[in-house]
Amino acid sequence: MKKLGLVGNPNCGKSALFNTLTGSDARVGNWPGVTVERKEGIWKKADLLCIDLPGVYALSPYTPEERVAVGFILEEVPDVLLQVVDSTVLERSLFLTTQLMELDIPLVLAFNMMDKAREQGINIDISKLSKLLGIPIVEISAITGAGEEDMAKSLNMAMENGRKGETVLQRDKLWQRIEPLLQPFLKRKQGLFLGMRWLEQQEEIDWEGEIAAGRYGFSVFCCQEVITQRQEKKDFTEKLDKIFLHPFFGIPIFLLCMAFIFHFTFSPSFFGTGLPSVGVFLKDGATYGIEALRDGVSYFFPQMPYWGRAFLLEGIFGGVGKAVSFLPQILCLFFWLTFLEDSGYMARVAFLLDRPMSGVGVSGRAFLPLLTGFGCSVPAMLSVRTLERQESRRITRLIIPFFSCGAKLPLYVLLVGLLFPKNGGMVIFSLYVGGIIIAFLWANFLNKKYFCKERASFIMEMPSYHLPRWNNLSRAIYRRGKEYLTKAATVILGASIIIWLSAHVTPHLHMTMDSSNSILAFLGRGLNPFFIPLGFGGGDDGWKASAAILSGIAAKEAVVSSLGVLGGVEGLFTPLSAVSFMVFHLLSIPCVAAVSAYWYEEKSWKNLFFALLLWLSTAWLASFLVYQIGSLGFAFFSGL
Amino acid sequence: MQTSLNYLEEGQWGKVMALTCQKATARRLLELGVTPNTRLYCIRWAPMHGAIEVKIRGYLLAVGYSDAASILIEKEGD
Repeated sequence: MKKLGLVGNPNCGKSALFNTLTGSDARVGNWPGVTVERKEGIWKKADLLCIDLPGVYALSPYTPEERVAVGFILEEVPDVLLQVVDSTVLERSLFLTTQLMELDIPLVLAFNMMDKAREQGINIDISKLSKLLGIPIVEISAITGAGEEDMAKSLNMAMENGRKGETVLQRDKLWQRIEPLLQPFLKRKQGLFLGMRWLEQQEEIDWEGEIAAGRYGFSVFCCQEVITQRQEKKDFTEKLDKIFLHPFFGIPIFLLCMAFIFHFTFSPSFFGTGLPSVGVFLKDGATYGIEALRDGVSYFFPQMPYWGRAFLLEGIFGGVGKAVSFLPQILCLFFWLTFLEDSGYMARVAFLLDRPMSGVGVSGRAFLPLLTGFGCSVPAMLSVRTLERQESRRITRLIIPFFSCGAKLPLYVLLVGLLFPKNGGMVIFSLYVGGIIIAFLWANFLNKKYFCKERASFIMEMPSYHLPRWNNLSRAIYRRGKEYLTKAATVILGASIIIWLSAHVTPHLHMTMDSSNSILAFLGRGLNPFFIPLGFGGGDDGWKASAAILSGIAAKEAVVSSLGVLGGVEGLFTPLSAVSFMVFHLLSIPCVAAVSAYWYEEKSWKNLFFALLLWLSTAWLASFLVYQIGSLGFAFFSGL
Repeated sequence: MQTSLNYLEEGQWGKVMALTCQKATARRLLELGVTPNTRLYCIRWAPMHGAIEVKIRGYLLAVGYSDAASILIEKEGD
């Protein structure tokens, strides 16, 4: 099967087109740099293998995502390239085209978002542009898939005709000076492209600046020839920005948005009406459903053997069922975050927060990776690649686990529901904020002590606003839910079984009813000295808390399922020790998947060791302070 | 008058003269079309003079304060 490489600027609709053509569900967002790795899929109608590459502004391999794109093109040599162009920013998009034209690979341009360009008063004469460039152009819609047949036809034609690379600089006076220098390259395969790349890397003369100016010169020339622009009118985006980026109200509006999202997801009394918020309502429904299922199972299979019954009810329903009942709330939180990202608002928040964030050595661009961390640390660790500086990337990866991921949420909800029934939402919100504060304290410290003293670099395109597409949102939610359930059926199920078995087998390998004689109790008690200063792990049942927190290394949801398997949390915590437990859970070493993602990105045992130590010690110290200061406070006030 | 981008105020036009930043940052800016002789328009500053949002080549670009300091420009109308 022939290979088609999809290239284009970040945020031009490339991934949306990929999803439409191949029927896949790759992540799409309204933020430059959502795709950081290549993705493959089969476009059945055209019988082509599609490869979706990370969005790039140019083919000079300086950032990791550009390296992925250039590496693919040069090493795997696709049969044809399709550049997706956001028609509203033609001038900038053509810069990449001028580089792609230098390759000996057939090229077709797909003009996306033409309707939006027309709305903004931009009319593009496509056939004229096609003649100027010598490249076929088709008009498409990445979302609806309109223009798919035309595109397939053009791609096939382009492949039949083949292509020899040529450069737009031939029309520039620069060419006389650079042509002799390129001679040694021109006979090789992809010679023109490689020659230009070599030139751009020379240090003595600033070829890079001159070549970029030449390319943009050509782009401006084309735009003047083919665009007829009516009176430029203030569009939707600029009007909205007046509100959302307001010098005084911008940041308060953002905080209000976040407060609303948390209220919507966690509040037992929605806007003081006494009715549960949507998130709580859904969670209650799920809990009720799972309990009904459990009762049904035990009712219809009354003659199950005793151990089988105990295993099913405690191990499976108590463990996995418990973890699954929190899924609706996680999806609820995730829905709003996706909504804001897809609308283009999150890029604005990065702009607003660049000053406070760059003050601690984290670029405003790191905002989305960090926010992704609220969903899951694994994709967050990967998307850190889009940051420009190595130091920024290292710091950001270290602090990602402090942004409380979705899997940590079930424990908060469980404990808060039991011990802080009135102001649960506030407690959870404070945990999230506390995590962020600790993250920024660390970033500030690391930046001053070990890395650079400069402020982090921030250069980012501001995408246009658009109404989030339902299709895109539901795909994101579906993917998220599927991941969670898959995890429940594998890692959490496995962890629950292991926890249940080790809680019912003695060190002498006999089954036991009394779990305080079990292997797990034995292990938990071994860990107790480590946890007792933090306020949990003491007392007869303290080993349950120690064992549960340990199981969080497999998956953070496993803490809740383990507590469920071990008979619930009633009587296990005081309000203070529960807070300390949650703080430890929030800050300590993330799950195996996140730790391996960290290793995969850093590829250094030294860094990994440092990171594990940093996470563990932060968690221990923070919980220690919370518990000890809290106890002192209680003693002081009760003594008054 | 030659100055740097962080002195461009809201509603003012400027023209890029030169980039004095690190090579990696300069490359990114060149790719994004911040090349000498390009006109740009300051739309706004983020709170506390954090980052600047400019319109350049028909799109919106946000640039952090320290990066803006390394972009030399000439203000128009001076």
